[in-house]
Amino acid sequence: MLQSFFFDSAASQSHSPALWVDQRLYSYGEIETRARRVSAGLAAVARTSDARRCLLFAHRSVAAYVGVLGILDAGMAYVPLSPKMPATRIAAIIEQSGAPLMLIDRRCAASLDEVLSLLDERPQIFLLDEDADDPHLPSVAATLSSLPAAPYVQHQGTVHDVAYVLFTSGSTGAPKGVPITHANADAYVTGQLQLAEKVRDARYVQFCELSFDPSVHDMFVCWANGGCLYVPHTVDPVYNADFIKRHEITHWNSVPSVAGFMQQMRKLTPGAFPSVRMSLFGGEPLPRSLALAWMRAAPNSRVLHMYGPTEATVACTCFEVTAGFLDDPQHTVMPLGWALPGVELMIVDAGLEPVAAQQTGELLIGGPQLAGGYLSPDEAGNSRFVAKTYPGRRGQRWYRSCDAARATTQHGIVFQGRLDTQVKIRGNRVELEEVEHVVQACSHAALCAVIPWPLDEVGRATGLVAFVANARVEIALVLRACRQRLPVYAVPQRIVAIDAFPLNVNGKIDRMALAGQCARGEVAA
Amino acid sequence: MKADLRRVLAETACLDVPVETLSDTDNLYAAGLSSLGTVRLMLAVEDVLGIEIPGELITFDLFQCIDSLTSGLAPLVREESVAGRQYAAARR
Repeated sequence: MLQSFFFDSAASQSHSPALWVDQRLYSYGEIETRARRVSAGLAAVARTSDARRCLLFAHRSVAAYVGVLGILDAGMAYVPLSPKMPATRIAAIIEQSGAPLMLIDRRCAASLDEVLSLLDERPQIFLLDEDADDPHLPSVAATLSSLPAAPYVQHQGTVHDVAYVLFTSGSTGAPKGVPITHANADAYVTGQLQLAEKVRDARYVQFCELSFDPSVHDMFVCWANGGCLYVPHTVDPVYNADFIKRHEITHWNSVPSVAGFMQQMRKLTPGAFPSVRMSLFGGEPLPRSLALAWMRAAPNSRVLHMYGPTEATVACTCFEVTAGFLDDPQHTVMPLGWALPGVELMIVDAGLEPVAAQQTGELLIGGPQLAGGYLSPDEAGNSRFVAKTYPGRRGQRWYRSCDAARATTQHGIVFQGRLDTQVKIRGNRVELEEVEHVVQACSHAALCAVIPWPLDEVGRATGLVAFVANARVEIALVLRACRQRLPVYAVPQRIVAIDAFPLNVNGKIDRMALAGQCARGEVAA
Repeated sequence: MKADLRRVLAETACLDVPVETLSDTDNLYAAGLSSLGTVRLMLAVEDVLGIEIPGELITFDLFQCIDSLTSGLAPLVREESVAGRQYAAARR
């Protein structure tokens, strides 16, 4: 079970530090006690007829990590809600999740009313225990109660139970829930333990929101190795460069953009991070220039480029970046590399038949990390999970990644672009159709198109520009509506009103022509 | 320099609130200054003031508010002010 990676370490090293957050260090024993209390309280309030899922609406505080462990220990799946999401999105996730329970921390309780006002059916809500002596915590409404104190009962679950549900961008405007079972997550963590040797007194950084699945790696690979999880309180690159030095971080894991911002803020100086032993980058392409700068800044670190969709649990391929590989200036972007332990990969054509050696096709992912499908059986995306057998392969179910890829003998799989309109903004998945859906609805424009722009030197989008065919559109209003309904990274940086859209030969909006307008500076980004 | 900083903030930093509503001591991160915004702000400030901020001066505290930027950058601007402004003007 996923939580066993924590509780097994807690049993053998109760006094070791497990978590550093909000200026305080917590031992494995302390976290264990608090997590068991949450688990007991949840068991006392849960009704047997309800779905075994619990929403977790919390900042990355001690309460949040205790919440994750307590929910799992009670035999429920955790459904993380990021406080950075707009209220409408949080409400949409709550509704879709079907979770009857919610744990909330004091800081998120302030925005609870707005979220609840958007819901027809409310979950039962309980306040997470926090350090009562913290003077910075806001007071909360008296109507919010804590979980009841109850005797602890060990829950007996199975590996087929769902451990967590994460929501990703969906093309129709509604986020898609991805349930990941204990078997999926255990397979991933076990593979990671084979991939890298244990470091004594390891200090792992926990950088991303709990609603983004690299956090699963951070928490459970760290705790399985008996390490201590360090939680920076902001994503600011300057703060985090200092954070690595001050806390002598040994394990770094982020999207490349975060390291890219550090580089731009002149923090990747040679030898800046001697403590770092392992650096993981994933979620978007890792450019050569950045890999070079990071290896100079962290000269004692292995650098791994990881790839994989949420549907296949955190990551399914890995490429170890070497100085030799970086010597070749033609290697502008790091490859995806090879399958992680247990993962099976296939590259196929549109008819799902294997392509010839070295040819480009769609990457199929199989193996024990693969989710069973989306939470909603009606989700159109379920057609991306296909049942098929291939000679010489054990996999019987596969996930169509929509990523074009090519297998090379020297560097494993190489990414060749997307087969749909999904883009990544700083590692976050954005379906352009979802953004267009929102822009169109609030601009009352007949036509609308969202273009990834500007692009960086290796072609990664760093923002979005929305074009609307409505000369009288109130741009400020559209932007405000977007901020209310979309995650911050999916909000267009600019809304551009145009009289007529350029069309291609098929009569569709010519996205290339719009991107060209951006590139020629006709649209200030 | 504060007027220059405010103008640059308004043009580049993509804050959640209009710069006019911020006092010199209001926290810029709380006003929505993002990682991308910080990078854009730093590069634009260097351009407008005609300075290059040395790495060791680039701290989390520097970008806290308009006052911290002013006091942090003042030594650089004083040394290079005349040449810097002419250079910046020539580039515009």
